[in-house]
Amino acid sequence: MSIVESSSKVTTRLKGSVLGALFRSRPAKLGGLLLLAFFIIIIAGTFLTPYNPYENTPDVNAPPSFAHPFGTDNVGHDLFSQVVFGAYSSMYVGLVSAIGSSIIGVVVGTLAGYYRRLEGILTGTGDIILTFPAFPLLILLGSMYPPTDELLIALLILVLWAPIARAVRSQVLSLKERPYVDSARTGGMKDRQIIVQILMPQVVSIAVAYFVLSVAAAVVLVTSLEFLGVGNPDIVSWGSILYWAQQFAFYLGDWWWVLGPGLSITLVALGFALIGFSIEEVMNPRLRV
Amino acid sequence: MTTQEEEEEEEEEKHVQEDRAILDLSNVSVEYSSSSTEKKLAADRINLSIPWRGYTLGVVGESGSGKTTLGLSILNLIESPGRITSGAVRYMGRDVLAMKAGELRNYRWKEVSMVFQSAMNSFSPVKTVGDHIAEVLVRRGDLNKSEAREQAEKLLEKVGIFGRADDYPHEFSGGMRQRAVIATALALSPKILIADEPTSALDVVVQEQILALLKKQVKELDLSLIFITHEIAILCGLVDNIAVMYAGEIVEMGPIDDVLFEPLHPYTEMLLSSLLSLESSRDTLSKRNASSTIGAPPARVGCKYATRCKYVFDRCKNERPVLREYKKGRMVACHKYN
Amino acid sequence: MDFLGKRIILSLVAFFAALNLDFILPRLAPGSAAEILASGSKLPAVEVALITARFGLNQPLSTQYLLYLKNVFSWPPYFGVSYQFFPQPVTQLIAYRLVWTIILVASSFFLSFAISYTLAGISSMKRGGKFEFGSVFGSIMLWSTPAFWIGMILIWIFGVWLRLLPISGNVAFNAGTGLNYDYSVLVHAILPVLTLTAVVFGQSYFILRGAAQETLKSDYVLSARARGMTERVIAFGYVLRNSLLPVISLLGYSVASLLSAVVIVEAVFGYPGIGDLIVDGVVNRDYPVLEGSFFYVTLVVILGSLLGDFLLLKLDPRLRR
Repeated sequence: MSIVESSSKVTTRLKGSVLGALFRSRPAKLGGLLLLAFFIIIIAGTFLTPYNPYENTPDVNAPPSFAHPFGTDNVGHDLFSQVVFGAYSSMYVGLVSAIGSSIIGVVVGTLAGYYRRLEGILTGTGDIILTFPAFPLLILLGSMYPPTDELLIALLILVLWAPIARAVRSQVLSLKERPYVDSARTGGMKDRQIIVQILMPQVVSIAVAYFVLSVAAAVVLVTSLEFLGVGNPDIVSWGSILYWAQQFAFYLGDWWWVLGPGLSITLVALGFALIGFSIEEVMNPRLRV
Repeated sequence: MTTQEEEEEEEEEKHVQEDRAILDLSNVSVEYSSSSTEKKLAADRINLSIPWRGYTLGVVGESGSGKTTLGLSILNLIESPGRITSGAVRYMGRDVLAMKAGELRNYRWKEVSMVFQSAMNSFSPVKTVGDHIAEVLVRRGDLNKSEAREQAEKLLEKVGIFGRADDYPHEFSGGMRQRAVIATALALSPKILIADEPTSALDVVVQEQILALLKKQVKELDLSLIFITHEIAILCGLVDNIAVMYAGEIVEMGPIDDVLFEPLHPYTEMLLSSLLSLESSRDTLSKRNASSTIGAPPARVGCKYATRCKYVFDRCKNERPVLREYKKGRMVACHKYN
Repeated sequence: MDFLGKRIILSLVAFFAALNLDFILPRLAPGSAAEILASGSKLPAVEVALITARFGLNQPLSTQYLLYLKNVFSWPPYFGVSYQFFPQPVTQLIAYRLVWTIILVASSFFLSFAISYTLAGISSMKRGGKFEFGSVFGSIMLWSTPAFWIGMILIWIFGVWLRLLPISGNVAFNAGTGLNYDYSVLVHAILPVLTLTAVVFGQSYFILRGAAQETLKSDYVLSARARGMTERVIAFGYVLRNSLLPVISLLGYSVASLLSAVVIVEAVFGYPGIGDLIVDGVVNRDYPVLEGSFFYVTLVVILGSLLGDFLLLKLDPRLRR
């Protein structure tokens, strides 16, 4: 059996066991449930709510009811419709940022781990980005350019790739020392082949874990930015809903204005976080509770 | 009274005082579960005893034979995913496995202490070596800080380490660390010392030093030593008795000179034949039955060694042999002697 | 020394990067640099002219760069004049605000650390119990919850419903001086500190727990147990003492994430620290303030990181050679 075949057998067994263990893990199941519920509600909501998120209904400052599951705000916007509407841009930004930063993170991390010459620059850049406080940087950059979803995605990718690269790099570093990599190299495998066929599959698990966690982080970061007013507060988004809540809800006593949207963000992030954490736990059994 | 009579009287007194063994393991079994379905019996109905102080025992077997598990179970240190599934460990008549936390802590180190297989890492990297020993003396020995400090230095000097009590573990060489570990193990003057492969990671010269050190301590402190190893040769001149382990079971036990001169169990025989002396002729080499040295896995039914044994017959495949006395002081678990 | 040397070099590089970023960015943004640095045409022409001269905005880029460096390295470093708080120089403004932010950040840091440490210690004593599961789940939940929302909920519960604590500001405007003043400061800091602690706990607990788990399975813990040490001594003296090391090595990162989070927390509570300044700066497009804040915040992070490395050197004997 060639090195590649045997190592891919190891990988498949590994992946099988990772997926299998994931299915058995309770936190992962809870996370999956949350996300499933979320997607169902959003899809259903898109088609079923009669209200336009920008529509000012006469039902002003109404607590949650059958007609308005999340209540309304001070000008009568149906908060549930707003949350459903905002979900799209939040998920779009969240997922795309996570994908982008994962790809960059994996590539940079693998290169940094494998090629010692590149390690200094790549790790150094990553470390520098990690030392910059994410928020002030995001705010600074976000305020200088017209606030679009694409800009936010770019900013988030900038901030999120570094932790992934770091994790991938340490994984690659330890894998690189394994005997089967050595024998692959002496057997004549080219670097690129080794990286793609042997190292990458092993790195997949940790990359996926970080990807999932990045989605959660991205969603929280994006809504926080919108909350602060980076990005247009007049466009309905999860953050902007709470931006307006911050202005009015306390004085008007509209507790649902704060609760509903905030809880949605939290539960979605929690769903992703639970899954991401479970993957990490499965890969590193010592973390198991 | 002549000196011989005096000696005999002393021996008798010893036996009378401790008419029960200091340490007694009966039918101890330890199981490790690597997942909810995979369980492995690391130790299978072990029966062992240390009858009196100063009784030295060597435990020999290949890796995976359960030797370390044996040592850990004496201190009730088997941790998840392993657990002791049956049997009793009695120290001076007290059931170690049933001891409550406080009693167990009193028992550990003060009565029985252990030098671990990976003694390299027995010390916390952020504490000085001297502090480790002093900690034991303060918390377990009721000394105050300065007394403990002094005593720690003295203990280290006894093992040949001078003036280095304030150094950190990583600053010690392997041999020195091992000696420091031994010093720590003897800090509370235990009655039994379990040494689990203390010399495996060391080069031969250092190994000799450590063995000499242990011999000296055994003599001076009337220490009972349980020396666990996979190298049977080390045990000569070190211990008085030997127990041979295979696949979690003790297959032979007896005074070391007798066992080495006249091995009863086929596995012991095989172990000894793998040692070559200067006198071995070429014939001995070629006569060795290759299949008996290459490790076929232990059998699941019947005698575990049956898959590698050159004397195997039908009964071996169906019935498990029990460890029982064959002649005076010699125990063996083999159907050949039954 | 090699370890510290490397870290110092890295810090210098990071500092240099921040410096350059601060120079480059405003000049890349749409609109002329002069506009941005002079906050558009919101400042009187005289000020605009002054700033243009001081920063050399109508001169070639290389000259601008040198002037910029000269401004930054003068004492006090000159970042221009704030538009919102005209004509206050940015540096002065930041200096005042920074103190308040540090009150929050330092309190939260120690509080969250103490809580994490205690929980991790108890968890490692009762392995696999409900306690451990609960604290892990709790920290995941806190990690996933947006900081501003935690703040808003706390405001609602303690400020609006229970009316127990003030919901904004750092001190009551009529607090006067002396003990009354101190008390007011304390009371106003409670909710922001709680919020910040919750956020940071979510992040730091993972790392601490991960490090603790690694340590738990190590040989020296088994040896300590064999030596008859109580679980408490093992948990705090061996497990945590050793898991402290990776946590401290991430001090720089923790400071960065704390400073990140404090921005949001101050925004929610209207707490006049540097975070609040930044947020207002965003809303009002007060670029000088933003630039200056970014610079100082990064500086604090770099210093914090160096502090962490220095502490690590002291605490981990293996690094001293």
